[in-house]
Amino acid sequence: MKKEVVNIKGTRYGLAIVLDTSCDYEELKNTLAEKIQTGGEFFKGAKFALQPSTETLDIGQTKELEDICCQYGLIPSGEIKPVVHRDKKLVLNKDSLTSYFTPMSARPVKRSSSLPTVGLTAKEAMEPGLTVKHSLRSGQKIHYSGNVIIMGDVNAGAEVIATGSIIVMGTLRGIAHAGAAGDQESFIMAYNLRPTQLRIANLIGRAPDNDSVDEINFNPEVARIGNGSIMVDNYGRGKPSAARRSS
Amino acid sequence: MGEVIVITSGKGGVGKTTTTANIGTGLASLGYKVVLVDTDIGLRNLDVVMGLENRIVYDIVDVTTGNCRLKQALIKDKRFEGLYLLPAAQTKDKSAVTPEDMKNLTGELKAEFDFVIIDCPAGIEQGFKNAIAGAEKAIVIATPEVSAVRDADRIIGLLEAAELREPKLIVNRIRPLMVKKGDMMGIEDMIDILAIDLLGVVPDDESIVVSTNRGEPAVLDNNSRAGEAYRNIAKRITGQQVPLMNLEVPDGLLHKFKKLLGFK
Repeated sequence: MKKEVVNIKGTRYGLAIVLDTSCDYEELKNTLAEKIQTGGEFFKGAKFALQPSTETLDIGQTKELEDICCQYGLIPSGEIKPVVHRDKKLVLNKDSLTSYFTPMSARPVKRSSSLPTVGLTAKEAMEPGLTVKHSLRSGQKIHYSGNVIIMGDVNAGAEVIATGSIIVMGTLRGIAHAGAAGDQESFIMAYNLRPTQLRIANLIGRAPDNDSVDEINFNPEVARIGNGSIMVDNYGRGKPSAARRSS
Repeated sequence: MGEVIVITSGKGGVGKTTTTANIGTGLASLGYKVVLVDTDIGLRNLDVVMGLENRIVYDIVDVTTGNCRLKQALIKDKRFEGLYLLPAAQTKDKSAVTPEDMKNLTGELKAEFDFVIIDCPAGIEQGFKNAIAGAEKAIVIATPEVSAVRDADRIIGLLEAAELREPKLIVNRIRPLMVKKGDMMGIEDMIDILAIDLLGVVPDDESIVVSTNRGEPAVLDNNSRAGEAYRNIAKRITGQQVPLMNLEVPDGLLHKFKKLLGFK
């Protein structure tokens, strides 16, 4: 069987567009456009993720290819898992899954030398991450496809929306939405969890109206989905405390 | 070359204009050359608080449109030699001035004065953008209320985005007894949220209402506690190290006697 340059595969979560990056970039681009064009209405509205066979595409090229897909009505998604080829080693590419929400500057920088990474699950290795090295103030908002770490506070009126998990190395007073694309496994963690609202996947939780705020004695807490609602537990302790918030 | 300081808050009614008047007067009383610029076009009242309303001939819009020279629009204060006011226009609105105009204006003023203090209007729209355009430093005013702190937080974010780094905080109208009882936000709580340096704390004081209405800034009233706080703030702006005043008010019978006898 002749190996195809662009191979569109259906997965449980959407289309995985496997790109053979060993061939010329221009050829790749043209073939991709052609393939999607011939599909016409068929692909419209479908979620997709680009999956280059090696890490040779740079961010600009990846963006360009994504834009071609978007032109024909496809929707980029971070949810689609890589297609595993039985005959060759699994190739992971973080860049291909960055969201179109994310500004270029916030995208993970592609490493020139690829040192081997051992001990990650396929899902973990696919997840991009964003580190914000300051606090978020009222009116400021982060959208990111992947995990987000805030090294500071998230004040009331600020929002963090991520398709992965959210970790706040400070006080979370605003709104955090983890697993915004539907990942029920994602969590929200903060040194001091005092959110206006917590959202994980399709669930929403808010602080009880009579929550007495103890700003001094606090523990790191983690919110995740359990029993169909958002549960908040102490982080790093053996026994989880009773859930303080409900959906 | 002087310093251009904008006084802002986001929320209205927290004391921007009163603070501008008092800090400006305080700095002038220390011997500095100061100009106060009212950028609240359409809702001017810094002139009223300064007691200079009846001397206005030209205003800021007249200057930016070239109707008059800058010198002609500056109103000399009735108390201090080195204190001037550039009033806002009352019959126009915020769009009558552009950020570019403000940059030119403050550039011209700071060549002449030690301190150019800009009174910013409430809100985050055009008026705010004008007010911060020419500023080099910012002072954020917040009262100990959740809404004021929320707005201050938003404003600090916008100031940082506009490259006005490290704004300073003035906590206005605090009531130590209410804080003690846990009915009011404390200074620590506010700093914890806003995470900026404190420039001063002004206690809630009835004398401010009186002085504001009379057009006599409280900073000149030696019996006013708010006035004392403003004097301290003015000194801190000039670089002096002044400790925070003791806010504890002994509110007993003994204190009332002392006050009556003048031992305050």
